Amino acid sequence: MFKIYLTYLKIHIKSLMQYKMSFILTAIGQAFSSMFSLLAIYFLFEKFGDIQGYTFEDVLICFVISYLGFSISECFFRGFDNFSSIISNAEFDRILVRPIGIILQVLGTKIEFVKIGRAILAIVVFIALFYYCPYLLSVDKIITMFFMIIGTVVIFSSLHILKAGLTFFTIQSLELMNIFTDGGRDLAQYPLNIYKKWVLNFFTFVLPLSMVNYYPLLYVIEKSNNILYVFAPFTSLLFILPCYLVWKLGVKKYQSVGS
Amino acid sequence: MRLYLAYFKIKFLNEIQYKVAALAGIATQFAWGFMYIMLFTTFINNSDTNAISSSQIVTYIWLQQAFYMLFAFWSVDKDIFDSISSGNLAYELTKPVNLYDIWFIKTLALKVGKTVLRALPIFLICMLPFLGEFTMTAPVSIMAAVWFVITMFFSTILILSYIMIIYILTITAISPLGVKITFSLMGDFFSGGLIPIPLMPDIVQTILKYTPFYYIQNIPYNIYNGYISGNLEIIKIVGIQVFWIVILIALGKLLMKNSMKKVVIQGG
Repeated sequence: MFKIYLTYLKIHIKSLMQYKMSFILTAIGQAFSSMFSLLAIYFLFEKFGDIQGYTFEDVLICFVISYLGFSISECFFRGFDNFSSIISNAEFDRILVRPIGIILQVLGTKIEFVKIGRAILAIVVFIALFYYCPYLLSVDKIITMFFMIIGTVVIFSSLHILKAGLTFFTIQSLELMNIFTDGGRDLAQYPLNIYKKWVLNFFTFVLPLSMVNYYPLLYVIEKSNNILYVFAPFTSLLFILPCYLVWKLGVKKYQSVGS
Repeated sequence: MRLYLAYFKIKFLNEIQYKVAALAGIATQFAWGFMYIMLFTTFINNSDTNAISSSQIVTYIWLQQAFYMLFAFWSVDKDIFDSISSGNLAYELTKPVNLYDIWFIKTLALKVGKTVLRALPIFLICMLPFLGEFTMTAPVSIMAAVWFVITMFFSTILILSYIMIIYILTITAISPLGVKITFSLMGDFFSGGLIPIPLMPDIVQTILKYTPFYYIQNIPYNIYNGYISGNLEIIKIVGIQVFWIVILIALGKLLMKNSMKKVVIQGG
């Protein structure tokens, strides 16, 4: 199974290399857009100073992890994000008749490496953070941040699968889901408790974004010593279940729309 | 004139068909509105910098969400970009109309059409008192309301003349997508699309006053909420708006003339 995915990867890279210049320019464009998000944070701190006890560096950790996780998930799970087109052009019928896993094939339909452009800036900021905040260079903190990134990828990928699953019922693309994907990414640029209490509650008990972004952050920036927070990102795995269930129900209910 | 009205009508009527998309748009606008309000008011309440009051920022954000499609730099006419990349531009050129004017009217109709569907519901809901601290206020005075309408008009023309330049640059650009992304991201950020201009550092605000970006959405919203006041001050601002409109339209028409000389349509 893994071998097939590697083949998909190779094909996508090959097709990408046919248009090298276009790839580079679009990736720069993506990096540009995240640069402005970063600049917005900088401007706000420049004008107002710390926010509820969080420094600029604290918020940067949040920003970097949220953006990195989101871009990785957008790069590899783009097939699910664009699932409405797979349904409306009956590509899904073809997927169903092939003797390999459905999820694997949908993953393989689209891998958007340009989204990595957004991640590049995040990585640069990450490295700068280690330089300016040497206290981050400890094993427990690096492990925590690693868990945070993986958890963020899991959550956004699950959301993409959920969006695709719901597409079976609506046929049309569900722009409303962007509130949770893009909205979640933008909200999580800051520690979630700077918003109202209900926001934090929603993103803890309904969509466990705070488990990968807020609680472990408290440990990383030494606002909490609770060792449990290090492992909080693992709860994101629970979020896969309901999303996968909706997807499964959708596949079961699927009726071809013709081509 | 009748011709332009006809173009406007077609595009406008076409645009207001997408009611479900507008509904989804309204929901998205609300989500982002709440998010921005919470974020900015936390910053404002946490600091003693008296830049702008939090109730002014609430009103600003809702206005921005209501008129989002009007002042979003990426909300442009995709058909125009398609006609450039596919070569359909050739048909447009055979018609006895001014291409610049037609593109202008089409984009205006598209933006107005998209805005009409979204603005009213957002306006009505945001005025409801049960939203508490999230409630949008009425214009601070009758004069502010009048100036709001006047500057909205000029701001709309101003952003359109900027978007026209993006269209025209893509005709001859090596990387149309790159031009599009760069110019619209820049416009969006510096006109206050990501964070309102009053929340930017003073030095940035001073620099922006010398660019057209300062005079787009920033002006009408901040007149409405009372952040910018004084008739004399506003008259000066309107003057600068007109100045930039003249400059950008002249530049656009000049660029259009030049690229039309160079344009090569491949095949048929």
